[in-house]
Amino acid sequence: MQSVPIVLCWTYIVLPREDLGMPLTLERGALDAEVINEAGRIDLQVLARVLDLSVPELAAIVHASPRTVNKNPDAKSLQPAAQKLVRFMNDLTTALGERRFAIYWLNTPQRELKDETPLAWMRKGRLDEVADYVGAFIRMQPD
Amino acid sequence: MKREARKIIETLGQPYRGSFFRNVALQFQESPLDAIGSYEIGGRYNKKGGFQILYAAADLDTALLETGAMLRAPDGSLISVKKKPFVTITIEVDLQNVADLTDPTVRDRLGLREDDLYVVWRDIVAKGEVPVTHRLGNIAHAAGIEALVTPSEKNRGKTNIGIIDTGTGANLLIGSTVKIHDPQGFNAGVSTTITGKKRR
Repeated sequence: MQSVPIVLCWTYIVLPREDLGMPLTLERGALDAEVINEAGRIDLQVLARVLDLSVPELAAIVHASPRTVNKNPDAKSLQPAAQKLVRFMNDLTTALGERRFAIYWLNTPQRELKDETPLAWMRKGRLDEVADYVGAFIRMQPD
Repeated sequence: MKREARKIIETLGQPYRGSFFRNVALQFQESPLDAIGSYEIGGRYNKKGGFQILYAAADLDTALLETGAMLRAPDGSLISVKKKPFVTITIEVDLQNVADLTDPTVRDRLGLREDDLYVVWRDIVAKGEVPVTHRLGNIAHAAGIEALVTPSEKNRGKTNIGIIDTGTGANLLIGSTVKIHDPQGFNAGVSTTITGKKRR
């Protein structure tokens, strides 16, 4: 009997473009397979490990308590912020070539962020601002 | 104060012609003059979700520095950064009502110092405040200024331009144009010229 190779092909995921109500086509990102669990949700304990963050650090980034993240790491309420973080880390990983460089970037002071690190900004609750900054970098938007 | 500044900036508009450089990621090659990114993300002179500004630089080094394709090392040397593919286009600008903020007399009239234009605007926005550059952009937009010529924060002593509201063309006057120099290579149907539609 001849075997038939099965090729798994990831298609594009169409995500809503919140600001314009237009579809935004994104490729499946590098982190997704590791951090998205069987239920189709991001597991924040796994995400913290993958991004070399502590749970309290990641909890601050997604505006939750460490207790919430430890108790219910894939809570629905945590998903929007976690998706935003995963999305731009995917973009950065692609842009910089490897995940370790994206993680290094998170810990590197940026002149555009008042010489603070993106991680420090996110810990202060500025996830959206860092996401925009990454978006500007990816799109080659002038500062 | 805002009304006063608007009245002042209305008097500062001058005709302006020149060439500028703009880096466009290859994924956006079908819309090289589109400034939707500046609308979605915001920029130094326009707030996120306000209006579009098409940013470009007066020289290639500045364009590369402004778009993160090059960084300046502490010793002043330039470092190349690995980037996704992009194209550099030259934009020919022929406008009638431009405020040149590189001119000290223009800044004096507005009560601004050059350093005011170098604010870390993202930090100010994150604090829920409005950076002076956004106030300036709003006032220029409302006053019908077509573009701001500005000093580059990333490459001091060099110049950028921010062409206001290119998305709708609402601020560009009839007779004003923004066009790509020698658009050979772009696909047919790609918009390579913006022409003004507004009566003075």
